[in-house]
Amino acid sequence: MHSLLRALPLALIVGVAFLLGTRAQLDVATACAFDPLRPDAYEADALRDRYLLALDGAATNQLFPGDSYFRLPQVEAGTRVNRVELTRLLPVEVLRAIGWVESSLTMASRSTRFDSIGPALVSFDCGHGVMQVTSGMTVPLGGGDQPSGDQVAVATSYPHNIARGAVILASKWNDAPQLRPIAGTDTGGDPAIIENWYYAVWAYNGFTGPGSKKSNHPLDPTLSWPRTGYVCDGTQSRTRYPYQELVWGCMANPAERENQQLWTAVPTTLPDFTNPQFYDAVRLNNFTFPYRDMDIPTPRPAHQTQAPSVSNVAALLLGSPRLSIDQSTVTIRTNGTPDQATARIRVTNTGTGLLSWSASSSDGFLVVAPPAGSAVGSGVPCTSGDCPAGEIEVTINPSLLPASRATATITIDSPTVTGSTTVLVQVFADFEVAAPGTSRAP
Amino acid sequence: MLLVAVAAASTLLHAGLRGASSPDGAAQQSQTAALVFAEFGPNVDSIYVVSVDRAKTRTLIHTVEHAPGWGLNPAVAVVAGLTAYTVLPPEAAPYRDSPAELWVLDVATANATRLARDADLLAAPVLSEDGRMLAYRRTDDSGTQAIVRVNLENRARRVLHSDATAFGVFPIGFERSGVVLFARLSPSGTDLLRVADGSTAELIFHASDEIARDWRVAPGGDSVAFLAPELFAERMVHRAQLASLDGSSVLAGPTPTDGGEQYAPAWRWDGALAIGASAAPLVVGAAEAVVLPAAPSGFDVPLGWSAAGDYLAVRHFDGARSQAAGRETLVVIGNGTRTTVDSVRELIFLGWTGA
Repeated sequence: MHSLLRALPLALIVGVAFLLGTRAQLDVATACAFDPLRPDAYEADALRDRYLLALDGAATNQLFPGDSYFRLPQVEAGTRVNRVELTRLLPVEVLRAIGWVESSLTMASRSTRFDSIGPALVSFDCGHGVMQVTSGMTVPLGGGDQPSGDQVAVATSYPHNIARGAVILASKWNDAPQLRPIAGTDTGGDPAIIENWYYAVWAYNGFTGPGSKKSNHPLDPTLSWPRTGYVCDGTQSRTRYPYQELVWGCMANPAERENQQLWTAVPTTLPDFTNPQFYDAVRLNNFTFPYRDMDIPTPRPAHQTQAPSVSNVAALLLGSPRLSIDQSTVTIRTNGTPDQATARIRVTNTGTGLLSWSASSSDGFLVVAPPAGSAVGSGVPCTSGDCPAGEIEVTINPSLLPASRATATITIDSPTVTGSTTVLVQVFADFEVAAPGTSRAP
Repeated sequence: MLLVAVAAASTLLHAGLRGASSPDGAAQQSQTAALVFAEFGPNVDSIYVVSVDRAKTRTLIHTVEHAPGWGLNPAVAVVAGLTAYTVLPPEAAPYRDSPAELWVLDVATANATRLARDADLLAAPVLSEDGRMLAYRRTDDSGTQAIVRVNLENRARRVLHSDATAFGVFPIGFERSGVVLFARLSPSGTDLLRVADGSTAELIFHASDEIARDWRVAPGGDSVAFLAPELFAERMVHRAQLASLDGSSVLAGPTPTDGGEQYAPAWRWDGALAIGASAAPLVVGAAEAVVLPAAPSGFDVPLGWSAAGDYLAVRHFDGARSQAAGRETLVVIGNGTRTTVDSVRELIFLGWTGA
């Protein structure tokens, strides 16, 4: 990761966005990091083996332990009076289910086939990828109004995306008790107990109160009551469930593909809101920042997380990518054949694992699309679409062209490998300049 | 909340009947009652009509495309042959706070009309008793919510009330005069208000210190039933409440014989009220005693009566109580029998047509 891209002012902006939550309080009119273009991303296998391995790695902080942006923070434990920092671990069961609820564990758009490269999954409110990461993805945060390296990684690299989602979930947990209530007052706020993540999961989607447009309050009168448990198989509408019940349902009822359950079922317990201990916590008059009176005991029966016994995850998923491009100079002619009006640059990963790249032009008249993408190296299945290389399409915006002959450069960079590459672009154009106020005769 | 006996509740029920009529029932006595429901699909909901005398034959009348995973959210009943619903369009981001569309569907003709594109998905729209007006909720970027009335004859929309409440407001129905009723949540609980065109909202009564829910306006629009939580035998349970809309009385509904939970109330055209309870629903306020057949286990949540009052649609749960609700099915109770509408998918009750 490029440390230079993380100057303090940018870190402050990211931090503010981070505090706002994954979706909460976002101005939908705000541009996303790559608007109006969309980056490409690699979509892994249909059985989600790679994503599930990445989830295991993220939950155990094995993906980016040395990276301050993608490293899992220390997860706190305890009650309001004895909160302490523990290990960098969170329940992978929760993380899997969130990934499923957010994106059905997909990194690219629905039109992208598995084992291929296609447009990244980006929602209207700037949610990106598997974990639909919104925080830090709402405006370009890099130099020159370009996306930062972190943003490129979150949008194009599933290990980074999943790791970032885990960081956000852990931060929601760590918001207690200062900003959020504690679940598990009788179990020392133990993060190894899955049921204690009730409020953190609620907050992942927005710690929204009853009656709001995006309410996740379990007693909200717009949600049907009683309600049968969510079974996570596509037979039930999400309209009548708060977010955390969707996640709970997917933990208990693993998604299936090709007659295989994608993870082991965990019949986690929701708070019993007929029990005054739980009901009182979510009363209307308690739903007031910083929610001091909303603490709850652990819903019973409780379930301990089963920490995945994985190793070498980072090496396996990330590999050792190497950036390579197929040409150092390209030419665009608007006065030639139609295909000469577009130049194409192939970005190849001559190493292993997954390469994330971004492309930026030195001058506004060059249009580069996609602005970022993925290229897979040896050992990563990629059998359709533009695999294994990414392709950059370069065109010109004639209205910004300074002269009929021009040169500019495109810099291809990567947040996952050091070094960058520059491509020289030569433009030959014929265009007429009309005098203001005149019009062409018919 | 004041506990009263069934007799007192019945008095209020009958008081609420003044001026009540059964326009659908009167006009359609010759027609067989038919259930209208939607079957949820991951990307498309299918709306069916099934006649009670041909329960195995359902007729597809309309399909509703929606954002993946998010099914339509309907008004509580078919009124004057119309149903209304909010839905996230297919191209919308699949999140609960995406702008939803508001549609009205003529069940007889299957003619669907989009009325708005700024609705809140979670807040179900409400139709007036004559089917000429509709009210829905929208929320702007600042979080201010508005109750919007739509004239279905010319589709004109008018904001009747804006509210920067800490929580939310919900349209719950119309009075006969066309005045819109809505509930408002605040830290002090749930209030019922009315708002007329060009007027400020008026408090009718404080319904609960908690979250009241499942509001149902009586035929004729003179009284209302709803659920409010209360502590009973060391459990928080919902109890049916009855209130006149002149604000003169708010009364607890009948005390359940087993002291258990009560579920959504449903008015019959004659002012009788079905209240969900363990086993079969209780029916109070009827001129003659009504005993509905119970399932072997579980409980029923009333949805709506057919126009003539011969059939009651319920959500049946095979679990013991709300916190362990178990599996849910759509069931029609009538003629002393219970008929389950088969589906492996979620079924969304829309209402009834015919008698």
